[in-house]
Amino acid sequence: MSIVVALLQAVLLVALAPLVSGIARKIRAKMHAREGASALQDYYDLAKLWHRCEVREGGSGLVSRAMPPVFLGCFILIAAGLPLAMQACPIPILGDIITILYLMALPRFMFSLASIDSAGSYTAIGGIRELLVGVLVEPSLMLVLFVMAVAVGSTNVGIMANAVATLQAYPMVAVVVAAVACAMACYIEMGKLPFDLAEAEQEIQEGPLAAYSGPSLAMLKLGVSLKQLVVASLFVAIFVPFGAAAAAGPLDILIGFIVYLVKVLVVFLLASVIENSVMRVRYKLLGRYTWFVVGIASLSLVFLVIGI
Amino acid sequence: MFGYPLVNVLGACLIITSMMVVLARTGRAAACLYSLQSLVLVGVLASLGAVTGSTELFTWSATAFATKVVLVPAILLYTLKKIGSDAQADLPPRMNPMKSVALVAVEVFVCFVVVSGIDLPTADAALPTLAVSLAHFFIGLTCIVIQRSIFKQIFGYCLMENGSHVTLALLAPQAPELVEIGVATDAIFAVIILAVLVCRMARYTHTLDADDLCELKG
Amino acid sequence: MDYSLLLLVLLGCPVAAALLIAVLPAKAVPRSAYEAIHVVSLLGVATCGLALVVAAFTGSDIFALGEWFHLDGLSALFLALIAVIGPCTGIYSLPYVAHDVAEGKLGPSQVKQYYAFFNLFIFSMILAVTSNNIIMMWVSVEATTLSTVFLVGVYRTKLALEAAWKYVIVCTAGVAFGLFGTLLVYANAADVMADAHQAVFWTSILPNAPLMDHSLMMIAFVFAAIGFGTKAGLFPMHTWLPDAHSEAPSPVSGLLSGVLLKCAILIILRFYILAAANVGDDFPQLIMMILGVLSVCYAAFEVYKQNDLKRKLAYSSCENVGLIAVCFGIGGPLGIIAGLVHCVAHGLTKAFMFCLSGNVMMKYHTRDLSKIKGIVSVAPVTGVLFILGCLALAGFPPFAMFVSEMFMILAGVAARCWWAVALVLVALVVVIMALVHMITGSALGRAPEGVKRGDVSPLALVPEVVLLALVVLLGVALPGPLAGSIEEASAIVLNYESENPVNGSLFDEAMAALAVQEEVEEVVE
Repeated sequence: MSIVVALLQAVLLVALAPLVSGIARKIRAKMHAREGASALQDYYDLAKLWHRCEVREGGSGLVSRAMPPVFLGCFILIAAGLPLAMQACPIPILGDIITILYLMALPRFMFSLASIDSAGSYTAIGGIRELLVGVLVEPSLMLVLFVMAVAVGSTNVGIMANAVATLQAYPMVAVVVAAVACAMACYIEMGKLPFDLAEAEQEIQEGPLAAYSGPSLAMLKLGVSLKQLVVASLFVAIFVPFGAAAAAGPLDILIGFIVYLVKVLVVFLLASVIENSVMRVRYKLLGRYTWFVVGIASLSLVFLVIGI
Repeated sequence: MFGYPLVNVLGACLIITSMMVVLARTGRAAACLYSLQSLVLVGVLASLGAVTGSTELFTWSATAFATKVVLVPAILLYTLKKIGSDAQADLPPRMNPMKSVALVAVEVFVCFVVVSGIDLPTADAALPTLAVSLAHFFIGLTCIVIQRSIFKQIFGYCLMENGSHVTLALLAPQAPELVEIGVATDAIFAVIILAVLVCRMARYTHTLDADDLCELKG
Repeated sequence: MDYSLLLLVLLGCPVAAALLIAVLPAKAVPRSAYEAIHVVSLLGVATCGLALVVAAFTGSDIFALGEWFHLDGLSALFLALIAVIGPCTGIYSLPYVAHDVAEGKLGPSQVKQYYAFFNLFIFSMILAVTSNNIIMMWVSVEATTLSTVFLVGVYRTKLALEAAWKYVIVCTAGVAFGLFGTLLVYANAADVMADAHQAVFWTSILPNAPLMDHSLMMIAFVFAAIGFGTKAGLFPMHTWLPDAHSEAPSPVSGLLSGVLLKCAILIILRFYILAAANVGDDFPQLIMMILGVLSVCYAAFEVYKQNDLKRKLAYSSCENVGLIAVCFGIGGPLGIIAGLVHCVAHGLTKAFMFCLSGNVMMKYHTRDLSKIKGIVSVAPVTGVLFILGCLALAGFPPFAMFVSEMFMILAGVAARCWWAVALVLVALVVVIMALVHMITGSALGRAPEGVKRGDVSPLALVPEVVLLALVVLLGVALPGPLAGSIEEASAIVLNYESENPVNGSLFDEAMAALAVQEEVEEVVE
């Protein structure tokens, strides 16, 4: 039963990812007072790209070839393991925070490695910036998840979701502050403006994405959209689990899916509004914002230790 | 939910609002956030009064509302008006304010460790709040040290006073009203005197930059 | 005679004067009106204060307003300081302010502010010394800070305002720390005592002190020492002292250095007594010793380095407060006696020196020592007094500070604190060097061209002569009643009444302790 739910989750998220990024693009167009492309444009793009033939750079090797599938695959795995529709993980081993953190670090690592593998200079800059974001944001995310683990008594994300949903996560203020820190960290991880340093269309011509074409580019584009969706889902799953199914009946799971979709859409709506109101942060000043998030995360840790 | 857990939750909110006061960019925003912080303080005093059953604390929370939430921000906003549109009241602080959040977290933790060594029945259940109130002294000190505008250093002093008042309420709930009124009026007079000094400084030396006020050295 | 009523009159006098001066309009009223109110209030303080002091020494403790005010032998000693130095510096203010008005440095509203806050300052100091409620003690120390801010910043120059700002921020921050210590003591006492409402009075806490929690008392004493040590000028919380004491008008500097620092020392002593009754002598003495030795060593070198006359004197105050702390750190009857005598001696000497520095500034219009030369030739009486004052501050006989420093060294030897004595002696030598350099450089020598010859008005010299006479009296022959009063104060600090019955003179016992030490050494040799 839970394997079915896991597969359904993975398929649903993969199918939804282009739609969500399409909706974000539509919102940006509306905020810019123009009509913009259709919300389904990403599907047409992916279909078109899939039929094109692949062109590789002369010097690129195995890493560049392996990166898009690995990128996509890791996020599909995370998507399968999150407690989205139910308040428990469909596959418990995939729902452990250590697994999730490593499954998020692996694509980032491959991404940066592949960017150096290519011969273009802009790709390398993009890869290094991606590493920079990773170094600055991962500590806060780890701290937040660690606080939640201690507060709830387990590293399983499903148990965390259950505890928050039944308001049994103690101490309360620590959890609330951790939620705020997680929201900020996840927003930075999503790579939306002002933090889209790796792609940075205007500055570095889409960065590492420029080295790919055809099916590889399709997988990579899908992977990037999926990453945004998965990171947002992580936040929603742990800290806003209200409405997800507590029992394992089919009707509850269906309701859980629908509630999850609504929650994610709301999150993306908020993210789009923020994204279109700011400009990209200069990478030198990124540290300032991440220090703030680290500060709030450590404050939640202190509240946890004190027992408030 | 009521009783000491409420006191502790309000204590945590006290830290969050104090941090917002330290991080505020303009003097006006800092004054309004200080008013909010004092409101949380009044909540702490009132809930402590409800928990310990001490009527003195209720009267004190009422006077604290009048003095800290209304009077002190009013005095500070009036001072801001008297200084004029001199932008020097809004100088950015010395240390990056974003890093000060991490510093505040460290201070709260250290104070908790110190306070854990204290063994008093009047403060046992509210030990986190006692740690928070001791930490407020250091948060106020941090605000004074990192702020470049002397107008914002007044907020650091106000935070220190708030911390000591919460400590007084926690450790001495049965203290006679006169004592608490004495401590509170002393805080008001101190704010008035600091505000007058800032006005004089602005009028006679035309600078509110603490870095400029370093001529007496050695 | 109803001494409680007299105590209330003593408190009410300066407050009434301050309010009266504040109410009168600045421009319409001539300066002489303010001066008249000021002088009347000072006379009241002097007479009531001295009467109360004599009553406290000869009779028993005086309580007023229930138990809110309390005058025992220890606080009577400090009240005597206020009652003597306050009027002297207050009378000295009259020609000093007149001179400043003539020069244009002070306007009419500033004169009014000066006299009003001066009286308020004296009121707050009397409150600090006589208060029995430990939280009111803290409030009164805050009140002394707040009432002196506008005295320090009365000249509206950038340096004065900067000094006032630093003063108020550092002192209120430090004293807020002292509040934490006070609250810990109060909570501890309320926990232990039967009637929690009594736990706020120092006289009620003292008998219960041995019952209180030890670690809590140690933390509270450290907080109180650091907090009220900021007000006293101990290193490293002394940073406000040189600025504030140099930028304030000279009579105010004299009062600040001479009396206010000692009031802060009294509050620390009150906590010292409680801590010693609870955890024994060693811990409080260690804290006082550390703070004292650091202050003495740091301040001594700063005294030597300074070129500004009043900053030199201010750092000398730091150093002497450190010496007082070292005396209390050495402990024992000799140490406590040395500390208390040094409080009185330094108070009188420093007030004397600051008033003289006011005279020097009136003649030379500068504080820079490289420009001040040949005081003896310009203003003979001031010059001679200046030389005598420097010698007094350096600890030469026959002045009072020689007696107290001698007691301190004897106490250190008796308690075998060799390293402390050695460090203090080195620091004292550095200070002597600095002060003798001041004598040769400034008092003697050829006067610069633009300075007018002729001394200051007699009213500006009389208070100094009075203070000098007292200093010499204290140094040459400690008068009987004063010796008895110091003995009684030391007995309070050592908490002798509870431990040993009063047996003979404390001095004899102290000397006997020293004699035993010498006998032991002889036997060893």
